[in-house]
Amino acid sequence: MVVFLGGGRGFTRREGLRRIKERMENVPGFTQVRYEPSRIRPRRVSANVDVEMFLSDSFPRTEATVTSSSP
Amino acid sequence: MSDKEPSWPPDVDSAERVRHVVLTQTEPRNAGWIATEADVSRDTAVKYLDRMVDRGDLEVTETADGTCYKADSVTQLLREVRQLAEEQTLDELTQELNQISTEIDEWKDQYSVESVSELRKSIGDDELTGDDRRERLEIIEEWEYNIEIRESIQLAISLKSSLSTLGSDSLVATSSTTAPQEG
Repeated sequence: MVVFLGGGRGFTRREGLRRIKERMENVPGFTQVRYEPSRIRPRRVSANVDVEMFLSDSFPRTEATVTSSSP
Repeated sequence: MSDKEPSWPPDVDSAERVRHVVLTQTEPRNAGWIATEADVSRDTAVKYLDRMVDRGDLEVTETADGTCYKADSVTQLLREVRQLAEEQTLDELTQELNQISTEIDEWKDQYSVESVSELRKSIGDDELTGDDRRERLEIIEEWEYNIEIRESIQLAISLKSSLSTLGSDSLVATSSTTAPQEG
């Protein structure tokens, strides 16, 4: 799953990614929420996902990665 | 004005919602638009927006939509430079500069250009396909993003150096005091 964040000035982009990271850190089943390629220069926020915990249901895969990126 | 229904977590109060909305816009917005997005009344939005203007977080501009608000670019830059200086070590800042330069060098080689300006001009080349142009436009955005962050990093390094010269050790720690990826 990829969530696109509207582009724009870098500050705005980083503020949006920071908020997304905060939200993702509170999602059950999300671990290792991180900026990529780096915290200083974030373009995306990624997290490892425990799929069954996230979906509250069984699923053919047990692990996944969610990435939110911009633009 | 957006036609979507805003959905906010219950623990995010109205001031924080207004702040979040206005600081994540890429163009100036008027109080009514911000109020709708933040799920507050227009009067409430104006109250918090004016406070942010007073603090220097926002600047006011007149547009076709009336009085509009946008993030103050100088405040944002200074805040970011200070945050970088406080939270990153000199080594971390230097490594990031190196990674930025490496990436830009790779783009120069990949697209046979010497600058982002040249890459922008190349968008008009007749032989490019639509996919080529879209790819180049994405690279231009990332290239300019890199340049912007590079400026902030260089200022942060200068700030650390100046404070070190002045004998202030508040920003010259040799190791980061924050957890990786925090914030």
